[in-house]
Amino acid sequence: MKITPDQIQELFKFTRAHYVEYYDLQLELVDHLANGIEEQWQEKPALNFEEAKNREFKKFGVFGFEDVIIQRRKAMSKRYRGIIWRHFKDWWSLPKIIATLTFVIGIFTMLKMLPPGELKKGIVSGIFIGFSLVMLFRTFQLKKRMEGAWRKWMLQDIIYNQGLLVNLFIIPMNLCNLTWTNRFMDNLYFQLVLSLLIVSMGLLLKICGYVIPSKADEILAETYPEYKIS
Amino acid sequence: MVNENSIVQEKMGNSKLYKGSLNTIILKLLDEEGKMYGYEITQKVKELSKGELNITEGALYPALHKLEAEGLLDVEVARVDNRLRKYYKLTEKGEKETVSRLAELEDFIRSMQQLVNPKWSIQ
Repeated sequence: MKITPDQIQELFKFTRAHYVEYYDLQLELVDHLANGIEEQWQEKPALNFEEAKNREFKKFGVFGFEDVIIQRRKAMSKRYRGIIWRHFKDWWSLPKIIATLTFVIGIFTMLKMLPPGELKKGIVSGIFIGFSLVMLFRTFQLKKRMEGAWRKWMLQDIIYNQGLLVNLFIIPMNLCNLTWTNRFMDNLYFQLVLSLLIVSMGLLLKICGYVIPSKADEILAETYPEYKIS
Repeated sequence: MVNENSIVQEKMGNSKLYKGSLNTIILKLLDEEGKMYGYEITQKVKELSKGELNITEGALYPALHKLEAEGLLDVEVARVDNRLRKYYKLTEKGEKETVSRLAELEDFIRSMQQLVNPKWSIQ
């Protein structure tokens, strides 16, 4: 006995009801449950769909699909980090190297020329606050794109969910606000490190907030063969 | 009456011995079979181990997804009956990794045999 298309839809609903919100994972779990149910029907044809479905679900253990979801997210986050790294390496073509170095030199010169005191710290903190605000705005924009989407993909959610990166911008901002940094603010090496940090963060913002999301479709098609089929 | 949960528990307890080798088992199976889908892997392992080893669903998929993220597995999707099915197969990197992990596992088994069943000799 084979599962009917209606029962397949029922299984999709079932996975959604068990907090599997991403289609890529739903697809795999639905096929697994369907195979298990069909196998049970071979031995016990009288077994009803609901009972067979619950028996199959029990095999996932007391936490149900939870562990599968958590581990899948970890695996996808790892893949995402790989995507960032790939784009970071691709960034270093000649015109971009010159542009990036110009930014580093420009910020370094600005830090060197500013009068000693709170102003310098204020400007550096201001740049990081600015980065965080751009990131928040971009996250809001990208999240809107996902709203009402017929199907959600885990990697798409990770790509569009840029909120976590804001924490990354707050770390250097706090460093600048620490009092021990006061005596270093006029140190040339510290200024150079700060310039490199600011440009690196800006580059991360550009890659994660703009470059990768603009290629989301291409990345999703490359990651999920089912993206084009479904 | 035998409680169904206890059977699952018993098998899960048994499989703890195999837990560390789960990835190697998956890689080896894919090396032999070419491409397989999740349910098929669980059934194949059950069949080969004559029901002794039961890969739980909660362990299989995280392992497959991890191997995929590491670039050892590639995914293919095909429509089968009235649903889409995800097949896993080894990448080139995965093929190399399978050889090295199998060699590692064989070394481990040899060492364990020596530890559990040492052959004493007086020289």
